[in-house]
Amino acid sequence: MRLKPWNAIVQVALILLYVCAQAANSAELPKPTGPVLLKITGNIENTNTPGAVEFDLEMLEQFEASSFVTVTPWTDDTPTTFTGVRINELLEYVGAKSRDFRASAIDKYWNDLTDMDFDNIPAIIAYKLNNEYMRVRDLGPLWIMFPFDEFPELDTEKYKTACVWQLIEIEIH
Amino acid sequence: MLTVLFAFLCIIQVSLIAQTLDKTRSQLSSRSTGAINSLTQIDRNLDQLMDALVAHRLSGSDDGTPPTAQAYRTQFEVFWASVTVFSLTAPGTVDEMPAAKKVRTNAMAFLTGNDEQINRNTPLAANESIDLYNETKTLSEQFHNLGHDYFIELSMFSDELKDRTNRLYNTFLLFALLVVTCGGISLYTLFKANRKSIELIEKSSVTQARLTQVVDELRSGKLENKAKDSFIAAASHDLRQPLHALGLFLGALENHIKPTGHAIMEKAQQSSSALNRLLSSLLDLSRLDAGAVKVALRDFDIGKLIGTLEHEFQSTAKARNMVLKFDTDEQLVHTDRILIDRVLRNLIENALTHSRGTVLSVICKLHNGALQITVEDDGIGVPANSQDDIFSEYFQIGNPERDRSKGLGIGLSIVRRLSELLDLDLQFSSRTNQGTRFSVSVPLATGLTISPKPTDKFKLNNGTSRSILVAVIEDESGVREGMEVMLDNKGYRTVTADSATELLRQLKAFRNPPDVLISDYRLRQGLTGDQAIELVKTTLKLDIPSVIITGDTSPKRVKALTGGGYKLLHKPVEPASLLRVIQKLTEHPATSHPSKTG
Repeated sequence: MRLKPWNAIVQVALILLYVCAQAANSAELPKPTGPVLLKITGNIENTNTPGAVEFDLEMLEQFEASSFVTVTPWTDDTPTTFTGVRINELLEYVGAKSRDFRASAIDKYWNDLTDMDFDNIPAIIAYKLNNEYMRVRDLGPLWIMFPFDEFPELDTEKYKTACVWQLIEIEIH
Repeated sequence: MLTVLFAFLCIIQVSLIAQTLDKTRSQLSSRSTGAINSLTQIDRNLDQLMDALVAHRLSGSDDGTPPTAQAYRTQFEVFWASVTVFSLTAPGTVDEMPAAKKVRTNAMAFLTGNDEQINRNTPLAANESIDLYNETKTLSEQFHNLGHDYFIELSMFSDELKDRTNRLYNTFLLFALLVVTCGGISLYTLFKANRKSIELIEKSSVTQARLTQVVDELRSGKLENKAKDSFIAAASHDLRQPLHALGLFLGALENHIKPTGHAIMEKAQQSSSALNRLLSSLLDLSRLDAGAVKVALRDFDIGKLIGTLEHEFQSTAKARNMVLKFDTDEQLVHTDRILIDRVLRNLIENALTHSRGTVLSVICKLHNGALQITVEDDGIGVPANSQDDIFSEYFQIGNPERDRSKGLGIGLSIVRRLSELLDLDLQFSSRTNQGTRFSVSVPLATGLTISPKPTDKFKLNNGTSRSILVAVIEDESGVREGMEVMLDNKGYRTVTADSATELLRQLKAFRNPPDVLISDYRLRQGLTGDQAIELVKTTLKLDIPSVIITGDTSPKRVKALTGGGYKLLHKPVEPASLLRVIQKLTEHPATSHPSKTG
């Protein structure tokens, strides 16, 4: 493959700039005060505990709440309102160096979410279903959810298996 | 017909395939891959719940809320969640499996029945843990059996799918075969049709080309002229024979007419010669076309020739109320004397006959190193739209009724052809009601050769002709008798016969061989004049001067004959010209002297 020298220079410059910015932004995030609902580990810049960022409900609710209505196979095929944190905001907050991650649940289920365009698809980590917090028996307390109604192209097994309920940990690749 | 049938079969096949495909598609889409995961997940959740219960019982602490109690509570919640979303649809259908529904109902009963016990403040006692463990184990076995049932049904469905796929594949193969056959037939038909249409196109283009050719010929008048030419050639041949005889009879009659009948006789002769002239002009044209006219270029004084013309046309001009104005000097030119005479004659005759003017002038002028002879009238002229046509045969202006006394309309055509033959520059200009002007440029004499004076004065010498024996071969009795009478009247001895052998038989009565042989070209039994003459000559072993009279204008034959060393005369032959020829042939003993032949 032939690289134009100009392109190469620009790329190197961008990488350097990114590294410097990350180093400068690397920061100690606030610690949770309540029970920990979510733990983000792996390839991240910012932490609030060694190697990880832990969130309680209050911390999650400090992000701008994002919500949408959609029908899912797990909610009796009736339109349901999901409210939570945009995944891309959360990834940015923890300084994730990758967009791919593994989501794990209380029931030991896990799924690798790869090549998903979180900037354009407003997927969320939901903490409210129909404006009520979810118990574990209600598939809570956290549930990764995609706006299936708004984006019909997401109606595939890939996105359905990515809807991890009882979410407790995200490991950035 | 076959194609339609095949197409129909194809449609049926396609609809069958589409139907089967649709069924399979809906079945496959309703078969959620989540079913297996759901089962394994529940199985594990139950295992973990049982593990948590065992761990709690083994820890043995009943007071407070130990971590083991928290663990089984969490697992209870997790199991609860998995039961709420659990559902198994029978493979290939959209309905929930009855067994799955039953097991789920049992599970929900277990969950609601033990909810209070699990989540109360005091942890489970040992015996409670064992009871709950056993209940959970029963539930686990039920789920396990459900998984087994599901597996069996799935296998059967898989077989069914495989079967259907095979059938689909076969149907598709048949369909493909049909399509290929159908396509092949269509292609073949198309190819055949195409070839046919190509042939048709070729045929039509050939026809079109022919049509175009015919239309072109019609438009250009080529076809018409061709027909005319052949018609005239044929007609003139047929006309010549009786005309020839008529002339001969009239010539013979001349000496037997009482003075009172002379006027009528003259009229009759005039009519005959007018008829002759008309036919001659046709013949001229035909001969010009045949290329049988020979050009003999020499130097001569054209002034004298024009002077003769002035003299000759004086009376005709008077009859037509026209004044002749000739302005000529002695001038030596280099051209064919006889043919230029014909050109000028035709131009003057044309002006006298058709112009309806008052003055006809013939003026000679030196111009660009040549002598320009202009024939000009002040008559009606030629309309601009007809000027291109005046040199065409049979074209006449203002004579739609085709009055034959005004000629046939071939005079100018002859002029044009002769000018071309002599390589003379012929010019023409005309304005309506102001007159017409023709001019011919004749090249001036280059050398000093002066033509010998033509001996055009022909005199009959009755005294000397009596001893001359003229032999005639003519198969037509009328002409033969006419010739005999005419020649007898002019003082010749004659012997006539309808064939060479008959002539030879008759010649035995004469002491001398004939001095001149005259033969018609076409004789009986497909014999020709030259053959007859050769027969006579070889039999008598003499070279006798011979004349062939022909009505033929066919270029090839005329050429063949003139090349054969015979004097050739064209029918109708006027008595005077025949006599002149006979006299000429007998006058020059040097060329016609009898001599022994091999």
